[in-house]
Amino acid sequence: MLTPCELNLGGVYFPPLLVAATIGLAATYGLTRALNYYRLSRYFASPPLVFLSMAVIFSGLIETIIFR
Amino acid sequence: MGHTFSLSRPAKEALKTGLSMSIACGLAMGFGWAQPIWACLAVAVVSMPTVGESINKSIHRLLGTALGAGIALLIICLFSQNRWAFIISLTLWMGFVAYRITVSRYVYVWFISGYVSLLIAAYVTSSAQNIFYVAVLRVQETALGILVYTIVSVFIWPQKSSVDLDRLFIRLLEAQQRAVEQYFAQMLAPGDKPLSENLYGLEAQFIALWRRNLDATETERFEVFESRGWWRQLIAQSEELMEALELWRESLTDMRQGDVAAILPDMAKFRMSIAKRLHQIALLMTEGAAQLPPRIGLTIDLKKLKALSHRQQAAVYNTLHILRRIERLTDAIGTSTRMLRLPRNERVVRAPKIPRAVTRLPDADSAAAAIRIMTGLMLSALIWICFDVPGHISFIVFEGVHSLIGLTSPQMNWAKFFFVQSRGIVIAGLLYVFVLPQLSGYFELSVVLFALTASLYYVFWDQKMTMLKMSSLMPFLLLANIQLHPTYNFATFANNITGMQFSVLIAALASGIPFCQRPEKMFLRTVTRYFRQTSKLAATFAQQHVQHKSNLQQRKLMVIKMRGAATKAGGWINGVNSEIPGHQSNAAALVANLNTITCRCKMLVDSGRQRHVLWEHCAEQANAWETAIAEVLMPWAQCRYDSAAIAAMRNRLAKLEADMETTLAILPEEISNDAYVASSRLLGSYRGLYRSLISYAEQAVSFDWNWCKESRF
Repeated sequence: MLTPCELNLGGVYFPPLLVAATIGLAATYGLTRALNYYRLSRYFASPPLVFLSMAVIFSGLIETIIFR
Repeated sequence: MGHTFSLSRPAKEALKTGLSMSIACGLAMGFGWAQPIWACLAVAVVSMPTVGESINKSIHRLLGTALGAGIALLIICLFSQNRWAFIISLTLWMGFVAYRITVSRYVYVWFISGYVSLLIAAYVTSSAQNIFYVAVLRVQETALGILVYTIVSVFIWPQKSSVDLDRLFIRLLEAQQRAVEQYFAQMLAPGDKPLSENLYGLEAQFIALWRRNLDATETERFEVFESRGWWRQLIAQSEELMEALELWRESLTDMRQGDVAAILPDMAKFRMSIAKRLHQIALLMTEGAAQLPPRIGLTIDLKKLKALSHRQQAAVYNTLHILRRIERLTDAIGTSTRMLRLPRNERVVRAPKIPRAVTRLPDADSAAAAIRIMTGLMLSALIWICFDVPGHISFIVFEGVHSLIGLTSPQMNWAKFFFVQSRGIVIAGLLYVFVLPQLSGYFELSVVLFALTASLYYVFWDQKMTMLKMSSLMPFLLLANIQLHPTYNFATFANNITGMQFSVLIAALASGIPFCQRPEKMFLRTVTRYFRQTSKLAATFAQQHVQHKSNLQQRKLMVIKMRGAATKAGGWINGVNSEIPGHQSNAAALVANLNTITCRCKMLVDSGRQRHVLWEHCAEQANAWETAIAEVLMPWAQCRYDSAAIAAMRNRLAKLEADMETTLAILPEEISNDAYVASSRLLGSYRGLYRSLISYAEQAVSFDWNWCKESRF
């Protein structure tokens, strides 16, 4: 059974979802900048929705893989 | 000689703001009020470069606070027991606030009323029984902050704007004098020297500054307040002169082939009279006395005029109309200036009524603003309900504030804002953890407040850095929990900063609804909207053959909307891709062409006034022009540009010009000269508009529209 856990950073306890969401957002931001740079963003119909979806996917993956 | 030490203006203003902040906080604490930081917030926001501007902003803040508090109380009274009704009513109110921000002249009143209503409504979860007390506290602390800053700014190094008022008028006159000189030189010796500068933008800047300064000076000086009717009339007349000069500049290209000096024999005298009048008006403003030259009626040498083609005659009549208008306006400006310089009891003419406050016309962006803010608020409310979000209900307040900020600065870069605010949070965090717990009394707290505020206001003095200044100071004021008996809890602080930053992300996400706000997309959108409005205007000409007064008003309104869309498009140029060489300058040239088209449309609206006089003789020709214009505009309103169409447009222009010549040549002999003038001006205006459309088309085909249309994050 999964138990709730907290992330200890220098003595300060953070909820894992917060850290995962922060890293997920940063990763999405970097990836979308790269997609813009290589003109790959033109293949998406609605970039804002893609941004949101990618942020959710990355945050979920990071929380599942790293913090559990 | 001893060296005199004097502080720079930024240093003086920074010290004044820091001092006011400390005093306001101390007084609020002395009165035992619960949230002394609200008084500090008022000081931070109303601190402006001049006394008048500060007082005006203070009045707006107080009005907005009272309105917002009242609405919050009303919503809480009606729906405090029903969560959904409460959230929906608050969201609808915020949507209305967003709409008003886009159309009202009093943007700050609406901004602050939205913020205060959210803030007070948020207390419904913690102290609903004290909500009236909270609302009253907010209003009185805002009033205290305003009062303290006003007293400090009036008594310590007062900075008045009234000197700028006269100087701005003189500088505007100088710009208009330069424009007049240039246009006369160009008209009388076409091709000799190309126009060195387009002064329209400069004049518009001066008028905007002048208007803002007048608002401030009215508050500062009673003599300006009592003669504000004259000042406002002077601004309106100067603005009209600016428009007339622009029309003149546009009509210069039509005059290339005519010998104007021969056709209008009094032209030299007229030119001298206009130049002298403008010079004397400047003297009148600076020295209080000057003799204005009388008006000269321009006459036409009909023999020489008849020797020209009908197309050239139309151009001459159009220019004559504009020149007479310019003469009338300079005369009126002289009269208003003289009235302003006379002592009040010697003014024989009653002061004119103050024109209604200028508002902006609603457009698609107004509706989008309301949708955007309501979406953001609903989204944050849903997140708050579904998850235990950091900051709890403050999260919704933060989101609302960030959305409002985004609304007042549409070109805001959210990523940059996020990082700048993070810097402010770091400053707040350091002070909260290491400095505030060490303080033992008000004196030490006041020193911290003074030092922080004064240093930030000094470093970010430039008005362009207001966002940086506010995002550095606000996190400290909002999160440091400065109270009479403070408690320090890092968990609460961390929760609040997380909520604050998370709300920026939600606001950024909501800013893309209902459409993306990337600069190139907005440029494309506003240009397309411009042509939709132009098509509508063109359609009114085709549908309404008889010119009623209501039709004329409707058309004038459409021209104002077109001008607004062109200005908005101009505002987005800087965001258009600078990596592609020439892309930005191309966009700027396109916007200049849009302004030309607007001027041509205005000429058409003006000259259409007498359209019914010889309508039956010109109807066919006018319809032909209208059809040609509508056909050009239709694809542009959908952002479709075809380079092959330009040659066809040129051929059509040549054919229509030939037809116009024939139409004017066979007008009945017995008609009056006025009727002929009206008809030729009308057809000449159609021709001018069509030519400006060709110029735009030539520019538009070299612009990379596909790059703008491309999907981008």
